[in-house]
Amino acid sequence: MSALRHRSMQTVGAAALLAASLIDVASAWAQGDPGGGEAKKSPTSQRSVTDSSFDVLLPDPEPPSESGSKAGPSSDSGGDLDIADRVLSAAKSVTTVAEAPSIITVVRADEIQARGYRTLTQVLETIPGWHTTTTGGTLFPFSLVRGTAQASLLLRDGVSMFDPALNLTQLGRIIPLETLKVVEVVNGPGGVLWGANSFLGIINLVSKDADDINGVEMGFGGGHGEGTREDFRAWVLFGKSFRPKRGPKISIVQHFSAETWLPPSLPGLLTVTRSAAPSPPGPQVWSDLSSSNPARAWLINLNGKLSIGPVTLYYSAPFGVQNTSLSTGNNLANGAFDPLTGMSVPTPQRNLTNGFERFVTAQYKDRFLRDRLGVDAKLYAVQFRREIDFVILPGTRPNPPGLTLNTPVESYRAGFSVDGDAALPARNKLLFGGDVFHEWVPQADLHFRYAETEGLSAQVAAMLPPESTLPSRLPLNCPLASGSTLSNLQFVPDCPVPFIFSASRTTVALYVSDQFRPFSRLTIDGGIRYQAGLGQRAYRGAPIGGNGQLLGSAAIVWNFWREMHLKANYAGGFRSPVFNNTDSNGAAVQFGGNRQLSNEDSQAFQGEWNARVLRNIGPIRALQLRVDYAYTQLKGLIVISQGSYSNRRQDGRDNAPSQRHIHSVEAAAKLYAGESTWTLGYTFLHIQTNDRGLLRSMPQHTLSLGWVLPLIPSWLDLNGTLLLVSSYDDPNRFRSTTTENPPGSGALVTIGNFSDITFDRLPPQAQLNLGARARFLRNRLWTSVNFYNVLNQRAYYPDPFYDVAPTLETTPTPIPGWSFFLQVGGKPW
Amino acid sequence: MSGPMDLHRQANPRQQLVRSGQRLPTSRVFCLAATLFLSLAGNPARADRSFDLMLTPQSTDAYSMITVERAQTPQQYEFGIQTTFGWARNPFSPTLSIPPSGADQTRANLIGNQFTLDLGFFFGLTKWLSIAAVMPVGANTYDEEVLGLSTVVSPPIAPNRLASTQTSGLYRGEPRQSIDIARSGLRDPRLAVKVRFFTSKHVELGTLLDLTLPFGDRASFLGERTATFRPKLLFGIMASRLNIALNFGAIVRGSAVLYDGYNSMGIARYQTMPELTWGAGATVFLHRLISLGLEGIGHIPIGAEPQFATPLATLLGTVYFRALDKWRLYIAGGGGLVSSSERNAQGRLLVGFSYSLSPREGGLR
Repeated sequence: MSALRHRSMQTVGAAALLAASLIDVASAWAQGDPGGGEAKKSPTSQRSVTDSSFDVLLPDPEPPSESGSKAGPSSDSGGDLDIADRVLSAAKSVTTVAEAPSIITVVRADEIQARGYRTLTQVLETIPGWHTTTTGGTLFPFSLVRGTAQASLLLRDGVSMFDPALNLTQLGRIIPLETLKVVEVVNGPGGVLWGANSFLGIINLVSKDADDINGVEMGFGGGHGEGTREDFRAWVLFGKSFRPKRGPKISIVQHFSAETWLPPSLPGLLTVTRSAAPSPPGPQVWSDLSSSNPARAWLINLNGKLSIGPVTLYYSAPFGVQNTSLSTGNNLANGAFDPLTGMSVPTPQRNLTNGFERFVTAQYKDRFLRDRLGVDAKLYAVQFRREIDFVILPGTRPNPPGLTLNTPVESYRAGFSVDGDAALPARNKLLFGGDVFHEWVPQADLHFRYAETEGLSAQVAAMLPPESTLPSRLPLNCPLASGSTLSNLQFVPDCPVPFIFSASRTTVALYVSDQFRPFSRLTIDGGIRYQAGLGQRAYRGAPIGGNGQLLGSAAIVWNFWREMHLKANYAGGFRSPVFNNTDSNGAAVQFGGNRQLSNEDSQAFQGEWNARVLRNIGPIRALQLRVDYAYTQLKGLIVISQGSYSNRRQDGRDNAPSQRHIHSVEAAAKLYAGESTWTLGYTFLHIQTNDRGLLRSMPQHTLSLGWVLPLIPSWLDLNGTLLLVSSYDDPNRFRSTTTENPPGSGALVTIGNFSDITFDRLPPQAQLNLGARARFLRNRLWTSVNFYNVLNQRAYYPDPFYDVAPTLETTPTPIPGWSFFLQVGGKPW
Repeated sequence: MSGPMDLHRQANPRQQLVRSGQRLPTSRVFCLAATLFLSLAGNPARADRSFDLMLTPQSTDAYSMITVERAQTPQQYEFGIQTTFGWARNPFSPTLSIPPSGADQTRANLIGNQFTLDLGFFFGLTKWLSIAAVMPVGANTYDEEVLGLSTVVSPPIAPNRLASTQTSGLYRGEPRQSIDIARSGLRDPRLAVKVRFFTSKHVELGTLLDLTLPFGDRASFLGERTATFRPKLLFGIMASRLNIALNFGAIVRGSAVLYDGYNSMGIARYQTMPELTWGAGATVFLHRLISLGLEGIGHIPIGAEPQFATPLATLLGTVYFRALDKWRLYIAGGGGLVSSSERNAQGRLLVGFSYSLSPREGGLR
């Protein structure tokens, strides 16, 4: 339960549920003519993409790669490069990466396909400022932004997917990449536009429209390797628009995918016992060497949208079983222990966190007053399914059945949001909006399985001493059944105890942001947001009336020379405590909730230089560069203190709020040379905390290199990604002592005491992915093969919580080993 | 392996060379001074594993031979890549004490195989000046018996039935860790500037200034302890079907010493110091598509202890395929010529390709 027990399980859902893809009236505004139609058109190579002559939609990718291949080396228009630079909705208006008032990275569908990405986390870890890690073994994977866990807000077509109970954002296989048109990633807080939980970053997923698909796309494939075994996946995506002679345009998009895989089998030692939260740290005892044996995972995903004129209905309904290899404390996913064979039983073990966001959104989007006013309204409901079912202790000699738990946590959010934009006189553009939503979590009970004998023969099961199947042998708060006496203890089966108590919150928010362009090359942006948390878990300690959060932002963007921009930006954000922070049951193998928690605050001062140089010089079409520096301050971070959650510094020296001070440099380069594309990303991180000093568990330097190289233009290209991560420390337990357990049995166990701390020096990593893609029949048929972690780098994930005790993460958590995936796909219709 | 003596040895291996009765080199002061700025990158490491064993790194651009550099540079604004897969058999064979007791010593093939992949990029700034970068990665297979274990479990001993865990092999004397030596990882990236001073129909002359950054995994024999500077003078002679290239240079680096973890007196088992380098190569155009060649690379240690001062030499036979002007495929095979050296690989294989978006007239030759 480390993620659940650990800190920073914050904020109630995003107030920010505002529009995607607002059509920008600022095209003419940018030219100094709010009337729009009279704007003087500049040559394509010079104009901004906020020019209204650019279609807001991306070019019809039918077939998707054709648009890319049309732009040959001789293309000097730069149009495709402009499109690649376009930001559709992360800034709540159409703009460019260079001109946006925040630090934005855009990854388009064709790049996702060409680079062989299979999950969103693979996309994110190549973006400067972002890393990938897991906690709770491999149960809770998530992305880090500026070295901070659970600090990003995931938006799907502008709707927040922030989980109000646990803040476990799902970024892995659950997001079908083939449905995405663009991934827009914002570094830094985005509180004014997006509200709570856009704490330190935003991931905005824009799905493909029917016109982007215009037919049927499909694919299937399989792969294998140490990292992912026996992996099979198939998908189909349909999209079509119909224009009746009368009535509005009707568009349909429907996606279906199915995947099954075996998580990796990782070697390790079976844990005999360890102290469970919220107990004080104690020894961890290991016994026999084994390998995790997780059960097969599968996933079915249904996504779609239906548009009738200005109204669009979005929906998503994923289902599945997402087993994984390690549980909290890096316990192996193993079942019962067979004392006769001296090994774990071969029956695959259930060990999972099923995280699914199922949602329905109705959107109305239109423009009025000759495009001077745009409105985007959304009505939505999201179910956050977080079924947790994992191994607490695998079966061992002293405890053959082992111990597992299960709790089906479900939380919900329903709300309504309105976003608008208006072209005002005197070169002003106003963004405004508000939202109201209610989010709640019903009480979820925890069930322990302490007498599992699945996989053991009847003979062995009968040999087990009676006490080995009773909960009294384990440190559990198991409720007594009626009729229980001191001399005859009777327990309620499965020991049900509340895991999280029911809680709710209602949030209302209003914001306004103005962009003023005194000169054509200078933009000044300022905004303010008021957001109030009301009801049972109202915000506490907020600046306005205790429950009203006030946020501000400001930016200046100066196009100082040709295609070079300088940007200065201040942004604020906050996270409100998630229900697991306020209403968790400290007697249920997790840390105690604290209803006095206040919001966590973030603010960043950022400066950016970006440029597009080397235009059409020799074979080089363009080189895009970006360097930014940010000083980010986090205040009141929720941490674990005395067995429960607190906003105060962890070392307890005084009553001051916990703080982080982050210095980061993020740089990116993208070279378009001929038909090849080369990308480079770099991140420098220096994180200082006020309770633990320098955060040594984060890599200070990260470099990513990516390429798509046409071996035979328009037919065969090679792609690859090299991710280089500098070394960092991981506080772990060192197995210092050996003894026999039971005494005299000859069975050795090793013990890592609380004081046996080692700062494992994790070596620098080189994760290399290589692939090739071939296209046939005018791109209507394609096949690709990708190899992941070619070097089989046995690296380890960063410990985002810097667990120096260490209690929650006592051993390094390995990254997946090598694997390959072969796909065939196409667009038959 | 625990005590003040060991700590001192770990803190300053060069001093410990004196304490262990070995003679400190006296004629190498200038080399130490030259490498001082590099050595400042960090205190001398404990039992160092910071040796990059790739003695035949790929050349910096597609106009050079496989490992021997030519003075020819890419043309202005020419962008290209060069990627080489390498394999070396027994590239590191020091004499070590054998776990678990350390009573026996033998010359062991500590690294049985090393696989490397160099991803290189070059760009012509002018017709005589170019820059290049190489991102190298590598993977090693170890002799596990010699390598040892980070945690050795001992049977408990009466009367308290407890025992302490130990370490063995190369892990002895190291700060306690719960992870093993990595089998693969990053090697030291290279940044290079190449300048062509002079060229005529038959002669070319230039220099290469090569810098490696100590980002590689130096705990796993994949990187140097410090940054290194590797200047080279490049000479070339061209005839109609014959190219000859000669390189003379040096590697300026901080020292690294591998100690034997089983000997509390701190016996050095291997040492790297600055080196002089040479390279010589010749290629013959057999056909429009195919060339054959021979390349030799050598290293002469400066300032190393006598037992580690053996010069190194490696010889490679090469074949080039040039089906298209923009492409060049190549393969090279050979091995080390000085078997007494710890870094003498018994066999080496290099396979790679070069690609340029806008090659010079005549293609990648």
